[in-house]
Amino acid sequence: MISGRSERVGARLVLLAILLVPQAVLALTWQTVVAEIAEQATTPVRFEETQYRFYLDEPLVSRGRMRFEPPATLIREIADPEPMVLTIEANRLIRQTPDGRRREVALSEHPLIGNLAHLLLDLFNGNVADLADRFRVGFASGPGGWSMRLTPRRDRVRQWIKVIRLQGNGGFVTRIVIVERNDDRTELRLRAEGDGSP
Amino acid sequence: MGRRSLVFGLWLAAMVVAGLWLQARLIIGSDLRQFLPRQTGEAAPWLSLLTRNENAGLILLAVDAGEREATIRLSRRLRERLLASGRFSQVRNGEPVEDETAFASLFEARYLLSPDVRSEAFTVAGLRQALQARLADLRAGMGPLLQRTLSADPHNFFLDYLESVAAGTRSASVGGVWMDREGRRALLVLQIGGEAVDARQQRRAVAALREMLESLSREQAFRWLLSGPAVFADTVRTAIQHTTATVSLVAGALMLFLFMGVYRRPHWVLLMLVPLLSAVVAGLVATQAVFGQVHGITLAYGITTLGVCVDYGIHLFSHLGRDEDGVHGVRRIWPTLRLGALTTVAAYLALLGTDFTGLSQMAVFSASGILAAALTTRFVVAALVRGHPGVRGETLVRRLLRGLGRLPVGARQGLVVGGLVIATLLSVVSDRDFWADDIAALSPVPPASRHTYADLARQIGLPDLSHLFIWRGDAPEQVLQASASLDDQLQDWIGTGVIGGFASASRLLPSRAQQARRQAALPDPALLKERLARAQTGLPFRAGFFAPFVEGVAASRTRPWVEWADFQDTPLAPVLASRLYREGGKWYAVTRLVDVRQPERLRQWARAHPEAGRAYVNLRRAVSAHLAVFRERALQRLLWGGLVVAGILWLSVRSASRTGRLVLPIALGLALTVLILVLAGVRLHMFHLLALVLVAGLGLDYSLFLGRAARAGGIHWRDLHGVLVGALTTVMAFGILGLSGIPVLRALGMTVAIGATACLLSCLLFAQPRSASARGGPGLSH
Repeated sequence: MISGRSERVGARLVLLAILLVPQAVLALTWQTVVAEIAEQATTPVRFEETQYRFYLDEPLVSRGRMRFEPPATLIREIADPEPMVLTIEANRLIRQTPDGRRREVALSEHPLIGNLAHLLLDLFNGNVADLADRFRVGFASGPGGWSMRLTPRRDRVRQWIKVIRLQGNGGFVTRIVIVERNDDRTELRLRAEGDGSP
Repeated sequence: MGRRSLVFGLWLAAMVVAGLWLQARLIIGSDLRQFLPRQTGEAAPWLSLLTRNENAGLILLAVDAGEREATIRLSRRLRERLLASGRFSQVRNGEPVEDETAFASLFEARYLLSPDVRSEAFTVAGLRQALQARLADLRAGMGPLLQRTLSADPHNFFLDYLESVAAGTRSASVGGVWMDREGRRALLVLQIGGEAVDARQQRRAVAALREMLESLSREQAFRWLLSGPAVFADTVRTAIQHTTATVSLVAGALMLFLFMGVYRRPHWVLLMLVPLLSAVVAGLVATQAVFGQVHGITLAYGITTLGVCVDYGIHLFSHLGRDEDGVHGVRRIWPTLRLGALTTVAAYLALLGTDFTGLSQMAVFSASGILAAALTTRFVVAALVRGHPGVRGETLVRRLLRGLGRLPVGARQGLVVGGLVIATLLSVVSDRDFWADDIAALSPVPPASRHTYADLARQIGLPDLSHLFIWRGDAPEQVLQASASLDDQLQDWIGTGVIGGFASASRLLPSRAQQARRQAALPDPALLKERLARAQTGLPFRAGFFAPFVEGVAASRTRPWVEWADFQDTPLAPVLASRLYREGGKWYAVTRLVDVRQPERLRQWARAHPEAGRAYVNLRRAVSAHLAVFRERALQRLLWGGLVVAGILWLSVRSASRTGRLVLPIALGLALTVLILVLAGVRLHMFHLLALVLVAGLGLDYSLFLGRAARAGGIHWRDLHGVLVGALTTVMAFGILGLSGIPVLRALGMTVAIGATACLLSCLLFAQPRSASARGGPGLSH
């Protein structure tokens, strides 16, 4: 049997614990994380992308550098294994190779690529309303950072994407995993330029 | 039964019989081809394009909710609601469009459709190159895009084909939707129904759209702008209805006051409806009987021009003495009225037999209407008029006559000099090209609305119609081969920056000859399998993954040709219909050029390659040249018509000098009208010419009534009274029409109002006023 005194002590401990938790952690929501991401969006990052596809015997890896130019330009410079520059701007995906060849894809005609591009642009623009409009957002945070789970709301996106998972720390996204409807997976690891960690 | 009742009963019976006949037979046409030259012989194939009206269902919508994010969300919401409404076959706002299953039948035909199918693509090197390219695509993030087609189409032939033929839109996109260049308004493209969109569909869809926008704006404040052919059609229809109602109401009220003041019998306004109604019914019956239908434009324009028939009744009323019977009074004016009607009919009949069926219709409609109006005035209106209390305004008219009589003898010489000055001025001005041969001048849509549409269309990236190649032939294969023969040249021009792109029929549906060449390039399945295995060595693709590719190539080696009909259930059907179509028993293939940067190079090429160059059309220039030719022909015919009119007048008066005195004031009045319009900055077009024919008819009327007095020693005040009241009603009605916002109606109204005034002045100055004996009274004999 728990005495009345023990109850009072327990209640005080809970109160103390609440008071000791940093205010920032209490206030951390996915919206505030997105806002922080937007603040640091123009910082260039290095990436390593690994694609797991059912028709490939081994994963396909590429590495390079990525930067965001507000309000709607995303530039991805792939250095390895085959150099090329991918630019997303004004509803287009432009692909340029060192030999000067250039190819444009209209994002409006390609739902999956288009939605992924818009997801990144929404994140970097801190566009909370648009994200909430397109995805159901699950969010968790802890001392090691935060994680977000985006489940598409719209049928035409759902038929391609099962879920998108993001992990990060503060306003920095460290990992994006896109799981497609057929369980093919693309994993993107990001780190700040000059950061030696893998 | 009294005589009046009998006459009225007979007229009414005739109207009822004609009405019943029209109810059973009348067909109101809307085919614009009737107002374009007939496509016979070597007539230009591009004329077929103008008649297709393929954009009739297009609507452009711009919305602005203030905040950019709110505008983007609104654009998406609108798209969903508009698609759900079922009134629009397409609603595009830049958001992804996905309906890949709809392309399934064309995917099966990919090896015949793609211009990249060559035997080199199926060698070991060619296959390996394709597989490496796909790995690069995967690294570029295009895995999801390739996923559905990769195993069956490792060359990516089909997606490349779709990319090259799809009508591209190049608007800037923010947040996944199209925005204008300021990033403020979201842009949407809507398409009503299927291929043939009629006026009713346009009206309903536009009304539903406006209702939806208004309903949404009550939930969320935003501004919107509608544009495009379907909206213009609806707006113009409403504006015409509004103008017609305003003109009828205001002119009717003014005429009521005028009749009350001048003839003291306001209800005689209703009598004016007798010749007018007779004219319209006779015009309809004659046109329907001769042409098998009456075009909507003929009807609208014809009824407007027949409005002048009220002048016949006015002449009658002005000539009636106190308590004089109409039947008695009309005999005095009938010879003049008859001559006026006959000469006007002759002027209209000059338009018969032109290349334009529509103009011939207008000639028959107006000529038969004028005859009917004259006859009805003579035999019906005259029989119905009795108990005239005497006209008002005699003193005023007599004063005017005395003033005219005091004009010095040299005044006529002054007029001749004035005429020469006018002619000289005209010839000077004519160097400035006062003819508007731009087809836009004939458009009923106000210029500001056209500019808004052009600007929005440019921002969205809709194709430009100005520069194109068009071929005509007896079979699709014939025109497709002609279209295909130019594709390589066009590709070169893209490379050298002459054009930004092109959309050809043969790129969408290759000719059989092209398909046969592609089919011949496909290898035997066993050979392909062996080459593929060698090409895959060292690449990460799983063995057997490309089995659908081998099967697809094998099937394509023996499949039937892809035909026009194969596209009909696919999203590309409307695209093909705009590039390959049948019109008047002939097939047409069209290649549209996009973003023409060096038009001079195109013209040089066309001159250097006369055979192939014949297909090149700068549509704006071609239409302008065609309108100029039409104008020349119409002017020639009107000149001949003028000579016929002069001939009829000479036969009537048997005097060359009297004929000259009757015709010269009209010629001067017409010249003055043209001069005023040109000096006011108006550029003349086809509808001004038609309006000038009407002015000539009015001028004839004035000239005959004022000039006939010459034999009797001068103008009788009653002649002038009738002419003045008639001119006043004409200037009032057409003056109101001249204020219309519809350019064509404004042209008609302005020209007739100015022309009637100019002809009246000129006829007054040329006529011989009765000086001493100008004191006619009731029962005065002429």
